[in-house]
Amino acid sequence: MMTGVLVLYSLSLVFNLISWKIRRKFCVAVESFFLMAGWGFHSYLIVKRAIEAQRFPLTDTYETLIVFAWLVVILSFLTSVRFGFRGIRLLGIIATLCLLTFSLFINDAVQPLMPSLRSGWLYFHVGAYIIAYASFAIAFGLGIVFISIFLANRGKQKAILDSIEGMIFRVIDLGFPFLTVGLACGSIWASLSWGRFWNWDAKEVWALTTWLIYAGCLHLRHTRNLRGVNAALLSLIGFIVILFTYIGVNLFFPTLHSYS
Amino acid sequence: MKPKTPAISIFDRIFLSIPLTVFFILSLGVVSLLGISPSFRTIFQSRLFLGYLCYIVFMMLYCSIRRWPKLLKFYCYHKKIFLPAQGQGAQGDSFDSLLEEKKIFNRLFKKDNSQRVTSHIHQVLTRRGYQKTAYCAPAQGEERFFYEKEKFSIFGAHVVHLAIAVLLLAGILTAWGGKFYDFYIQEGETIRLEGTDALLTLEKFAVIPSATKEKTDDYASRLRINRPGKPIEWHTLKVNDPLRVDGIRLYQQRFKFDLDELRIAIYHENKDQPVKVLMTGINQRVVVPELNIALEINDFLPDFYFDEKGHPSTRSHVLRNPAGHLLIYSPANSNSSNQEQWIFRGWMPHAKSKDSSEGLSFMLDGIRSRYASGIKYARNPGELLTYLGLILLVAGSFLSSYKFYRGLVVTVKSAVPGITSSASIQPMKCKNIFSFEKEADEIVGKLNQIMEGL
Repeated sequence: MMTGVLVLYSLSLVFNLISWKIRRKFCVAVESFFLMAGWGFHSYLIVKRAIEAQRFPLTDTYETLIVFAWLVVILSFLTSVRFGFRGIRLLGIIATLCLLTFSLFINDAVQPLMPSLRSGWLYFHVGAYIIAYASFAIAFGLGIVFISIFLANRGKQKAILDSIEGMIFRVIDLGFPFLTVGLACGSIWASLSWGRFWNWDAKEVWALTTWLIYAGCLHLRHTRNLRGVNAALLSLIGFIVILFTYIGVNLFFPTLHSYS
Repeated sequence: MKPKTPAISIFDRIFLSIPLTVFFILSLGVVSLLGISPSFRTIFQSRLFLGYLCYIVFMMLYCSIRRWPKLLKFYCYHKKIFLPAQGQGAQGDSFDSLLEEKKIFNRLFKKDNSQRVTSHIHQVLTRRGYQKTAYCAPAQGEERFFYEKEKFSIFGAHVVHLAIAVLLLAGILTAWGGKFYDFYIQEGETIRLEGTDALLTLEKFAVIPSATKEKTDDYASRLRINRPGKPIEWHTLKVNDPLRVDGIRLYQQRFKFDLDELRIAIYHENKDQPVKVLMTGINQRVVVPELNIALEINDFLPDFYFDEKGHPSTRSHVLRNPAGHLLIYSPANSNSSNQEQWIFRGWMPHAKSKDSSEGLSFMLDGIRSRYASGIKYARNPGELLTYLGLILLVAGSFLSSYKFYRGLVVTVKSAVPGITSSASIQPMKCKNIFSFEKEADEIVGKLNQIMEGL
């Protein structure tokens, strides 16, 4: 089923790329059609999973990956409309394809929930993190575009670079409060479930590192006028740390979050 | 600028040093990453680490305390910006430095329409959420207005700073006066809760298996709390639902299965009645003199099955298919077991040895067991402060990311005396130029449209 979604998104990607070469409304319309069809099918699979599992699918890596990819599509679409920059849609589709391809290699069996996960806080904690991660994925894509343009033109296209830089910070601004909500909800849930707000668990420490990187990024922006390549690089580093927190920590460290 | 007193400048040097802050934050990161490793875990309980956190808290609190007066002054800035000429001086100069050089709007119109133009500008700006906070009465043919939007957002970043200080302070309180430990209590056991007069009894522990019975859906402890001179209370302690007793909190964490007694029945081949039934426990060797053997159960699985690798394991903690790993010593005084087998409740695998246990079969005839509930004891004096810190952190991050301050100075002055006037809008420097430019374009577009023909 997920392969079908991948095919639809891939077709959307192909037409998006063609539309950059041949600026025809037809290509954009076909790309939009495949994107909407892919997103619709993707939504259907999420709902199907929710019905099958009898809960909102945010409890294991497979479920969070497919919801993460779904949110990247929505956010990239909305931000591309808001900022009037179609490139964000392209970045969103590429990120979604990467996430969904990765999800194909993960066990997708519906597992019964362990008792400590049976809490409403799970949805606030994971949901907020996924929204933040989706925003930062877009900022990461924009960061790559910024650095590519910068390197290709030796920083000559200042107006475009300034505009992309503005978008990077707007998207980080969008995700940062959700990252904070995720951290706060996780902390409250940990206090209700494990008896302590903070356990110095590997996942917690890396989540805090991620928060500090993005907080530092915004802080430097407002106090030290962080701009240009440094800002783009920081958005790239931030997202790499996110990927490590999300996937890498479980592989390399013993953690209380081993189920995620 | 007022000169700093020596005390303030010393404190500034200690608590506001940027290189020192960077060093502390980086080293905190290194310590945190080190602490992930179990061998370095005790680092977080060390006094050195506590002192370290204390210093950072003082730094952040000091930084906040030093900044809030300036911030409040800025919040009331509109009251001073259009001071009469004699009162301006340095104040007027500093205000100019806060303004962008480039005006976003500049338009000429007929002098007779001054009133209408002012009203149109006011209408457009108020519709976009701006508020007129200052006004300078016409002087030398010039009239000035000051409009502001989302001014409270200037506190956002400082609320986040304050939140971090509050959270670290809560962490210090927790480390200083908090107590956390795990304990097990068996069904029927009574213990005294540390730091209280309450006696805690686990009356019953219940495990609810999942539909497939392979995992545990939920588990809970039925607790009786008996305080001297007070009526007895009963509470159910569940996962994710802590229980507060006299200022401490109890959390349902885990459970285990404690075996009190195992009954082994020994059968001769093809006989319906057991030759012998004996009681034992885990790792207890019992001798059966009449058969010249000794038996010992060294492992017990409540729900026996073979895992993916073919190793005996347990599917759940429910007594569904209990099995004991039996060691048979034959003769009874031998030092090492010469036969081992898994024995089950309700059916018998046959022994295959050629020694004195030949022809004997063994079965689990009865199990007397009790659950032991794993409970966390927590006394956390920093709990309320942590909640406050988390609320401030979330509020501050939303405020600083989703709201940004904008200030506009609208000037209406005569251009050609008696014939034309001009209206201009000059923005204050804004932290979110990207969004402001978008908004400014929309405002200018609307103003140009509305002022057509004036």
